[in-house]
Amino acid sequence: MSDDDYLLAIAGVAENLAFLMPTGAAEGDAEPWLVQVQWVGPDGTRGRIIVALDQGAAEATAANLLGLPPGDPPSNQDVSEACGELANVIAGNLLPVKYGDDHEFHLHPPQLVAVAPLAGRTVVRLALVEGVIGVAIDGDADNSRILKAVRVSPGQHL
Amino acid sequence: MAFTVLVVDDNRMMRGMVSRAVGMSGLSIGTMLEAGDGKQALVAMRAEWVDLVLLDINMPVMDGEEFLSQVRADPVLRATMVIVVSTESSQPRIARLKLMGAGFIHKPFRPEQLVAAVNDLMAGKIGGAP
Repeated sequence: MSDDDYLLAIAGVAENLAFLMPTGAAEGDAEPWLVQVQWVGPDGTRGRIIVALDQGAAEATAANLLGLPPGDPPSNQDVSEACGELANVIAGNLLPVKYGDDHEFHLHPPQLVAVAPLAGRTVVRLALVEGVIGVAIDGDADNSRILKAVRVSPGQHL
Repeated sequence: MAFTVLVVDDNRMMRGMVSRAVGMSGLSIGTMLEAGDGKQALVAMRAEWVDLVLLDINMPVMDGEEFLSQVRADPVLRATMVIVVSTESSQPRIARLKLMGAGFIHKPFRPEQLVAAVNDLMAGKIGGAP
């Protein structure tokens, strides 16, 4: 799979789920909103997808999911829930791109995480009119390294 | 016929999104109900008649697949129309859900896809309660 395949899948979710406007690949980090979705696949394989949104993309996602009128900012709770749902749908759409659609995956609930910088075997960043979404994709082989890199805030299931 | 629709999803924003999509779909909607997991959904269905369930798969407490199994095993509820609305892409799992008489819409979706799925269910093009 190429980065373009991943970018297309992420752009499709951003556009159709959150009504964001993708413009192409982006450079630079997309923090501060970071959400991880851990997955378990066939034969105990496992991994994680981390979705990072900058403030603009995160707030626009929440506002659009909630149908808020312009000028009515979402709360932090709204933004974290929106980022969680966006991450969940992105993960669900990326796994078949990476592994094919003949495998069954179980997705764990999205969690807010802290990680710097966005790290993973594959990292792609999508530019939007509203901001930037970055995604890191990891499978089995990188887990020990990634587990060390990611700090999960307790009780932060979204 | 005005449908009573039950939206089952653990994320309140997604429940809202699905509900708004139902509203934009042009379907005749009577009552919209919501539940956060399969267990809550079963309680809701036993308290009030539901025509159509829009069902997420990955949920805590009771996931969508277990919920669908219980609905199909219940003599009162078994004929209820169920459309799975999920990020699920696994063809084996989707095939299993369809064998249990569920329609399927992949997230993200457009309102017209919802209408098409409902029409397919009503026309018996997809599954039907076994």
